[in-house]
Order: sequence, then structure tokens, then C-alpha cells
Amino acid sequence: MKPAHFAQHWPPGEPLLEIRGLDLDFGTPRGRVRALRKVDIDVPAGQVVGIVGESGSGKSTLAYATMGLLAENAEVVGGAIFFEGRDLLAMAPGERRRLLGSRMAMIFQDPMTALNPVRSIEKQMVDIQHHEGGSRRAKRQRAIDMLERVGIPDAGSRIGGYAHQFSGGMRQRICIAMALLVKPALLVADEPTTALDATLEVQILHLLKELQSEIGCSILFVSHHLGVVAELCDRVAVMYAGEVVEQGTVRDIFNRPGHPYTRALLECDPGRIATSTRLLPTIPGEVPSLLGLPGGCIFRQRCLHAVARCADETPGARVIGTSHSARCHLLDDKEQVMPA
Amino acid sequence: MSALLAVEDLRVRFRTMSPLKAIATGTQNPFVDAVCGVSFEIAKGETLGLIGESGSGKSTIARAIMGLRPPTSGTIRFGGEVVNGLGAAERKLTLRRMAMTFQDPVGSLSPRLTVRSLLMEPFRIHGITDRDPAAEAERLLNMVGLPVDFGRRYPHQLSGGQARRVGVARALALAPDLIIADEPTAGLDVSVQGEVLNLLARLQRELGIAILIITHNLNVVRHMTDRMAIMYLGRFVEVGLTERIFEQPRHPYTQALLSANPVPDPDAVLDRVEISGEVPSLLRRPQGCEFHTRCRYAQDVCRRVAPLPVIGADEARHNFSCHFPLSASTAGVAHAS
Amino acid sequence: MADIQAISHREATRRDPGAVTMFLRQLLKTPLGVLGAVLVVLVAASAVFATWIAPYDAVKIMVGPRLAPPSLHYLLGTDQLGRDVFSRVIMGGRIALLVAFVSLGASLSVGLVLGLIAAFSPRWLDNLLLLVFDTIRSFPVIIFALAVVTLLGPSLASVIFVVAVTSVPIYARVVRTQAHALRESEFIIAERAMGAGFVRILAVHVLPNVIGPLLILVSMDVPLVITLEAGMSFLGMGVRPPTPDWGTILSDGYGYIHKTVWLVVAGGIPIVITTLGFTFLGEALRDIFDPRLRKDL
Repeated sequence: MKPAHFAQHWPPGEPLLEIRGLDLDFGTPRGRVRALRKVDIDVPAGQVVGIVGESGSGKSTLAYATMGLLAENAEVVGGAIFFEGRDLLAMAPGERRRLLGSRMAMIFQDPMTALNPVRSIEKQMVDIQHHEGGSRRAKRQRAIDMLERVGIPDAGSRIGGYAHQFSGGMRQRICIAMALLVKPALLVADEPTTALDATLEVQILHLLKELQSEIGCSILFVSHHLGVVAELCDRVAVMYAGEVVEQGTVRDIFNRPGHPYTRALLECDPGRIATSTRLLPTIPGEVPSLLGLPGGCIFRQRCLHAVARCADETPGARVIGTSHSARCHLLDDKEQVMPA
Repeated sequence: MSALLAVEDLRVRFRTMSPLKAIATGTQNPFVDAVCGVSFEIAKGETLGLIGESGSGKSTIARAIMGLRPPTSGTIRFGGEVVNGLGAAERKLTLRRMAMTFQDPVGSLSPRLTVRSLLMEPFRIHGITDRDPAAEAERLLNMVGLPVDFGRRYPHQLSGGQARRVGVARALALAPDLIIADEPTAGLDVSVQGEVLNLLARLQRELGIAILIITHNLNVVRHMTDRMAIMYLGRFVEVGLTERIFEQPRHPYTQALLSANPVPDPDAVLDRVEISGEVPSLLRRPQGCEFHTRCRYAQDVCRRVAPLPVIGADEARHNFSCHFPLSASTAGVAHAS
Repeated sequence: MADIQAISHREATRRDPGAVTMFLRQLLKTPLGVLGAVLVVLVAASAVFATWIAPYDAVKIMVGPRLAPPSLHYLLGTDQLGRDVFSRVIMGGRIALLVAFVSLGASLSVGLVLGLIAAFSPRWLDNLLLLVFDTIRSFPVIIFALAVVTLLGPSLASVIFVVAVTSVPIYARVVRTQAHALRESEFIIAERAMGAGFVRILAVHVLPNVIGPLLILVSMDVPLVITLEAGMSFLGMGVRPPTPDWGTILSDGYGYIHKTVWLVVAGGIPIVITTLGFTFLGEALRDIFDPRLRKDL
């Protein structure tokens, strides 16, 4: 009998996934785009870690890099990704591939393109269990049980259907079922609710929460939606233009943000603005181009508190609380209190 | 008070298959009703929000008003005159007074034209030659806060926020009385959503333009609109003053929508109303009240009889269609603590 | 400090290296593309400057001994009437390129118009046009050519006519597919929402967006056309003697192959070079413009 909490053989609280100093470039006709720079992320076992960022932050790139699903013109220039203690980037490709679909699984933003349109759901769900033993019938039953668990009514008869016969919300549930069927230790979710209506989003969130606590897996949850991250995640990493600017528990990030970008971002979210106002706050300027970066802090040009040092020196991570760190020069000087 | 835009009992019906195929497959009703009898008014300088999820019909209403999709029945009056069912030439004249911005900021700009050419399109289309195109383009770029050099750029060289502003600039070209903004914040980062919304608000203040905002983003609606209308399966389920609805939603769907908005606060008190199921297909509309399949308060009468709209008698014109509208005791939504 | 005006100004003046520069840079990365471009330029230049390059008059007989092998005087030797083959080949290039451009130009224009009409017309008209296109395409080209020549007599005009007519359906279909895909795109809807008329939308907004793939197709079709023209001349159904033409040179060489192989070589080489050149160039263009095939690292 397989233990129910398959993923928890890794000591809880210990980092299941440790990304250290990841540097990643993309080759384009205009030159090298430095998409990820010195990225450090910790995903403890059994916890949900949110990666929050806007467009160009590199959060999706990070998710794909973890899974090893990058495009041909991507090149890892430095760093390591430790999964269950082993560096994924140093592994032989065959070995790394064996982890996919057994210890790591992924769900994507668009469920329609994630499912094979010409194969039945049954076939896809049985195939995905290819790492595990057991008869075909046992695998089929497991698939049906999982589909019922994610809320597909009448799973026994509907499993023979095809992707286009299900609605958008159902398809995303099927994708979640497929990903969690193999009881992975880590689930990577790339904006899984972005394409769904608000009422559906809530349902999927609740489903993910329940399944996560049942199975005990970790989730790396990529999103630009602050509200969703606040509700689902235990820890949050905030990314801006290819760097992790702040990382900490969800309460640290939302209640005591250290980095100016995090603070500005939270101010801009209309959901935080309790009273109706006709003038919404914004962060002026644009995300800098990642070709040929100038030195110094990446957020300097849009930061209201930038000083001379910010242009010369790239800030390293400063610890500002238990397991809470941010990359900002202004956090050095405790007396230099940033205006609230 | 005569409204700027008055829509009366608008219905839009699409064909799902050709008549031949319908006969061949024996389908009785090869139609889908995207909009089923919608009525509303927008006064000069007012902002109305149309809220709905996918399949609600909100985009179809916008297209019907702009004349891109002729309504199956109903009347659309603009400035007192009927504008649906007009000939091409007359419709073109009407289009000088209303403009639309689209959901895909870059995709709604013709890819091979420079920003300047794009801004001059409205003038060229309507044959207006008495103005200097370059000067007009510059004026419009200034209005939306973009530097003049942007005139030389192509759409693919613009960021989402910049492209949106170009879209707004283009909409303003002929000084319209009404702008329809279809998902003005779609695809925009939170930190720049405010840019386009603040811009619209400012333009409205300065130029007195009426705005119809179509969105599923309730946060946008709260900050931008005077009144809002919630749509479900092609019908209005609740209409009224925005603030009033946020404080006290009367329809269960409104309540669910309001509470489905996750608040960026991990300690938020969640009076979450989760509704089950998904939006039913337009091809298989539920009987009785169309929301009953997902409503936690549904009772027997809801399954059998469609509720008639309750028209608010007071100034606020708060309308809703529900057999058991919510009152202060039953309504509760998530709020930032 | 954040200064939005400064940021905007800086953004605006940071010019993207123009599209042409980037295109050339990309092209230079593909060796075959460069080779193709070089060959095409070579062929085109030799055709344009033919009268200056050709050492002898291409139709003048007995400028040298009959069927002489290549030498310094006669770079590709002489043919059975003592004419300088090199001069004939250079002048023949003019015929080849003339046929290619006139016929492809005509079929491009007609195909473009018909394709646009088909894409934006009601279903029945679209289907009708597609039927016409498919019917024309189902004709074996050579048979069609023979029929035309029988009716109109052998001449350059017949060749151009045949090529043009048989190419129209292909281009029209490509244009129709592309334009059809654009029909529902957001920017077309935006233009309609501003009151733009049918013609304006086609001319200003659709046409520039469909012409790209079409031009690549044309580039790949040039060798086919040239081969077709040479083939017809080879069969005696194209240009009339003494007009120099690659196909005619080949045909002559075929007759005298037991005496000298050089005529055949001289007639064949230019066709091979032109085919390779346009094909390599066309493929490189296609790869550059298809973002999915990019491998920029």
C-alpha cells in the first residue's frame, strides 16, 4: 500500500527545492537577454511558495527552468537548482527526465493547449502513470478516483471523452488531476487561474488548497494576482525584471514589505484600496530592457527613494526578519527609516 | 432628462449552424441568444460599468452599439436618434460621435502603420482634410501623455500600457461623446493599470465624455464607475449605483462575484461565498431563474419561474431580478482588514 | 529619482536598429542564404548589364569557328553557327528574367486581388472562386502550354501567358488564407468600428500584412518559371530563333552533343545557378520571417 503522504518522506520544513544563484540568458536577434540573475528561492517541503511578479519579471521563465522545459535559445549561465538535495542542472538529461511526471509535475495557464486534443483523457491519464507499476485497470481506476476528487461529475463515464468536450474550468481540473495523480513532491503551477473567470478561480484555488494538504506536496505557484497569492501561499518571493527582490512568509511580504517595489506594488493593487478613489496609484516608468543592463539596483529608475549608491552597486540580499530578506541598500541603515 | 445613449430591449441572436446543417441534423433551434432583452441608459458625462464573466454577452452589447453586429431586435438611441438599422453612410456619421478601445492593446493597432498614421486614420476615414494631420497626431499624443517621438513607432515596439494609450488617443481623435472601453485593464500589470484608468478619468473630467466600461475586474469598476450593471447569460441581474451595490448587493450572483475577488491580504476576513458549478452553456439555458443551478439560496419557485425585474423607484434606479433578493443580514463580502 | 519625462524621452530615442539592418544581420548568419543572395545578384546584374558584358553580338553568326571549345576569346565556346555562346547565355538571361518578372508580376497582381476578394466575400462567392482556382490548378501545366501554343502560336507572349495563368491560383489561395485569418483580428474590427470602408480596409490594412509570405513564394517560384520557359523553348514552342535563350541553347546542344558537350553545359549552367540562387535565398527569407524557426543563440 502506498503511503498516503507520499511526498513527506522528505523531512517537513527542510527545503525540497533550493534554487541558488540561477543565471539564465536568452539569445535573440538583438543580443543576449539576461532573463534571470542570481535567483535564490527556497521551497520547503509541504509548503506553497508564490512567485509574484509583473510582465518581464521572469517568473514563468523560472518555473520552466525548474522543470527543464526551456526554449532552445535559453542558456543557464550559472547557479544550481537543488531538488531533494541533488542539482538538477548537473544531472544527466535522462535522469532529470525521470523526475518529471514522478517527483515533479506542472500545470499551465491554458488548459486547452496542455491537453492532447486527439487522445482521450483516459489514455492521457493512464500514460502519465507510466513510472508506476500496476495493471492498466488499476491505473484507470486511480485516474477515475482522482477525477472525482477534483470534482468532475460522473468521472467513470466521462473519462473516455476528449479535451474539447469539457469546459475550460473542467479542463483545468483535469490537468490538476493529471499532475497530482503521480503524487509528486513538487507541483509547479504557472498562472493556472489567470485565464479563468473569477468565480471559477475561487473554486480552483480551494481545490488546490485541499489537495495540497491531503497529498502534502509543495507547490511553486507563479502568479501576478496578489490576492490569489495572499490566500494560497505560505511563502512569497517577489520578482522584478529577472531578480528576486524580496522573499519571506506571506505575512512578512504583505504586512511588512521591505523592498520599495513590493511596497509600491501593494499600494497599486486596487483590491487594497479600501475607499473608492478616482486617482489610482501607479509606478511611473517601465520595466527596463534586459539587454545590456546598466549596473546598480534594477529598480533604481522607478524608485522614489533611490540614492546615489543605488546606481553604482547592485544590492545583495539583506536579512530583515526570520527567513525574510530583501535586496535594497536602504535596508542597511536601520536608522534610515523609509517613509511608510 | 434625455440620455446620451438609450438602449431598449436589445436582443442579439447568433446562428450556430447553417440552415442546411440544421435540417440535416434535425436541430430545432440553431440559434444562441447572446443578449436577451437588455435596457439601460447612459447620461452625458456618466460612467457605466458592464460586469460579467465569459458568455455574459457584455462584449456583444458593445459591438451592437457600435454597429459592428446588428441587433436582432430592440432599439439603440444615441443623442435621441435611432442608430441601429441605419445605412452605411449614416452609420459612419454616427461613428464620429462614439469610439471604442479594445481588449488587446497591441492587436487592435494595425501592425504596419506607425502610431502617427494610426492616429490619423479617423480623420482619413471620415475625409476630414482641413486639419494638419501631423499637428493632430501631436495633440492627441500630448493628451494621453505620450512623447511626440512615439509617432514614429510601430505597434510591436510599444509596451502594453503605451499601446493602450495610443488606443485611447485614437478614440479621442474626433472628440466623441461616448467611449466604450472593452476590458481597459486586460493584460496590463497592476502597477500600470492605474495609468490608463487615471487617464480615462481625467479625460472624462476635462472633456465631459461618457464612458461605458466593459470588464470582469470588479476593482476597476469600483474606482471608475458611477453605476454598474451585472450580467449573466445575456441578461442584467442587477443594476444600480456602484457604491450601493458594493455595500449591499441584492442578487446572489453579485454577492458571489464580489466575494470571489481575492483580496491581497493574508488575514482578510473571508465571508467567501463560493458558488458551485460553471456558467451554463448558452445552448442549454436553465429553466426558471437562469442562475438557480448555481445559487445557494435557490428554492422551488426559482427552478420554475423566471423572476421579474424589480425596478427601483428612487433616484438610484437600483434594479434587480431575484425571487429572494438579499438584504443586509444575508449579504457579506470580503474586505481588507 | 524617477522622472517620467526623462524616462520617456530616453525610451523614445533608444531606436531599435531598423528592420532592414536586423534583417541583413540575420541573413548574413545563414551561409546558404548569403550564397543565394550572391547568385541572385550575379544573375540579375548580368541580365541588366548584358549589353555591356557580352563581348560579341549574340545573334551574329560566324564570329568564330563552329563548335569551338571554350577559350579566352570565346569563354563558353561557339555554337553550330559560330555564334559566341557566352554572349548568347548572357543575353538569354534577359529573356529568362523578363519572362519571370512579367509573368509572376501579372499573376501576383491578379492573384492578390482575387485572393482578397475571396477572403472578404460571402461564403458562396468564396467557394466559387476556390472552385475556379482548383480547376485551373488541376491542369497539367505542360499540356496547357501545348494547347496555348497551338492556339496562339509559339512566342514569348505565349510563354508568359501560360506561366501567369497557372500561377494565379496558387497565389490567390495563399492570399485568401492569410486574409481570411486577418478578417477577425482585433485591428480590423477596430478599423470597422471607426467606419472604415471595405476598400480601405483591404488596401491599407490587409494587403501589407499578406504580401510578405507572398513575396517569399514568388522568390521560390522564379526558378520554376525559368525552367518552364527554358523547357518550352527547348521543345521549340517558346522564343523563335535567332533570339538567344537558355532553352534554345540547350536544344541546340542536345542536337550536337556527339560533337561537343560544351553547348549543353553552357545552356544548363545558368539554369542551375539561377535555380539554386533563388531557392537558397527564398528559403533563407522564409526562415528569417518565421519566428518559430529562430534559433538565435
